[in-house]
Amino acid sequence: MKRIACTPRPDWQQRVEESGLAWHSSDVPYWNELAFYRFTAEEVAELERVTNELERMTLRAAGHVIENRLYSRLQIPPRAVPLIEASWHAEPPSLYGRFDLAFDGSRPPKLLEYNADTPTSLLEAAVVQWHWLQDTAPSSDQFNSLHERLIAQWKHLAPCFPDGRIDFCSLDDLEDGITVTYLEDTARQAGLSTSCFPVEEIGWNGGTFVGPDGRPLAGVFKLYPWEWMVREEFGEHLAGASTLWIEPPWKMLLSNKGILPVLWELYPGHPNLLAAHFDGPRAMPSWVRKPLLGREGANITLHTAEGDLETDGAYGEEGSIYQEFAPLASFDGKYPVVGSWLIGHEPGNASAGIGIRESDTPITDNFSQFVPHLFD
Amino acid sequence: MMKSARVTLTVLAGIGSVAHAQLASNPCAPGTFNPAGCQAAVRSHGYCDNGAWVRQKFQKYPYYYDLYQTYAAAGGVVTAAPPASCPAVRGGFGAHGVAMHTRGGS
Repeated sequence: MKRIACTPRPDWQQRVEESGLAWHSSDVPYWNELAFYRFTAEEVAELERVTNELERMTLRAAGHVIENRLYSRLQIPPRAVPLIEASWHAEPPSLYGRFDLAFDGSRPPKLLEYNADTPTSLLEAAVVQWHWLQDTAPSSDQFNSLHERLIAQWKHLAPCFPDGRIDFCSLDDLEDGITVTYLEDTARQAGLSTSCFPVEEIGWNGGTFVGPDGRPLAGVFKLYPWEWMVREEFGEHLAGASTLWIEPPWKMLLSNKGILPVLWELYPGHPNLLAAHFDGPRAMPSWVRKPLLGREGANITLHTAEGDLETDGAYGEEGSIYQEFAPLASFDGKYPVVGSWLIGHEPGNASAGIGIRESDTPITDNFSQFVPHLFD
Repeated sequence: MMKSARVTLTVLAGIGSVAHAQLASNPCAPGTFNPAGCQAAVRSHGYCDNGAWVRQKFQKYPYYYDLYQTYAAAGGVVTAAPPASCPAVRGGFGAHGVAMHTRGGS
């Protein structure tokens, strides 16, 4: 794994916008093609193998939480428990997820966290970096079958949706909106009928959730976290409604940072896990405290012998976990995290590609930059 | 013969229970059968009656279609339930994201 400096395409802004990446630049460019990461085929195979292994382990961890009713350790509200258990036993549709891995090419990949419910950076991983590869190094390969795998997964899920229809919703936000628009596009390519609207426009008519036009919602992809949905006004209606949600409610177990100590209890010493505990750092000399429901690097405390590094945010009242600090390798002063994508849950075949975000500090936050990759 | 007779009785019992449920707007009842409305009611586990939601766990759609066909073939009068929608309240999702000025994705 190497970070290679390179010259951006002269029209890179136009090229990425053509792919839908409208948020490529703010104060600093989010999309960064001043460099790329080069992997070996062996490294890619290792990432694929580990991703499939972690998928198997996290599914077992979710089952372990349910079987042993460990909901309070994850601060899951009682209202959510019937939803989680019903969806787990019914095995409803699930589309995707993203493991964030610490990886430097020399040591085993380590799971930092699992964005199982509302992962983004999908368009850039699936489409934008693929176009970059075609423009700049078409003879090289990329660990990226995301687009075709998404379409295939929608086709696989289609029988679950009455009349072959699924609706999409998110907050009225540029990045979220374009992410669901991209997913909507892949669903349409799979033959499904779709519409897209802000999550605030979902209605409740006394018996069922309805869309902006009053039509009952049979299947909905929501880019809106379960931990928020179950705590909001309509949360009380979720258990009684017939709407099929993607991602399904049981995914809130895996997007919760509490799944990290559960994994460590189930697989102590596993080479792709970091030690993690609910009750404190114990004997770990360097550790990271993460809120159970934290997002985008907010309210993280990084403790090392050199001192503490903290990020701001509005999370943490719900409790935190302590995770062994995995020093991210520095490449030209940048700290990359590998986002390893899962599509579906086919055992041994869920891994579908990677996207890399790099930061100026060891904490990956919402100022990180997306950098493309290739492998030989 | 016994099997055939039992099936007939089952169907007639089904017609009787649904047709006499006095749910004038029930789109799955034989006397007010409305194909599109019944399919929507099956999917949504309920239907709208005079502006109020009636929650009901239905059988699969073909069950009601068969009842309707049998009922109509026996000379039953069918007045299709008109399409109806209940007033909806909105804004019950999204409060966290709006209040925190953040995205839902991560």
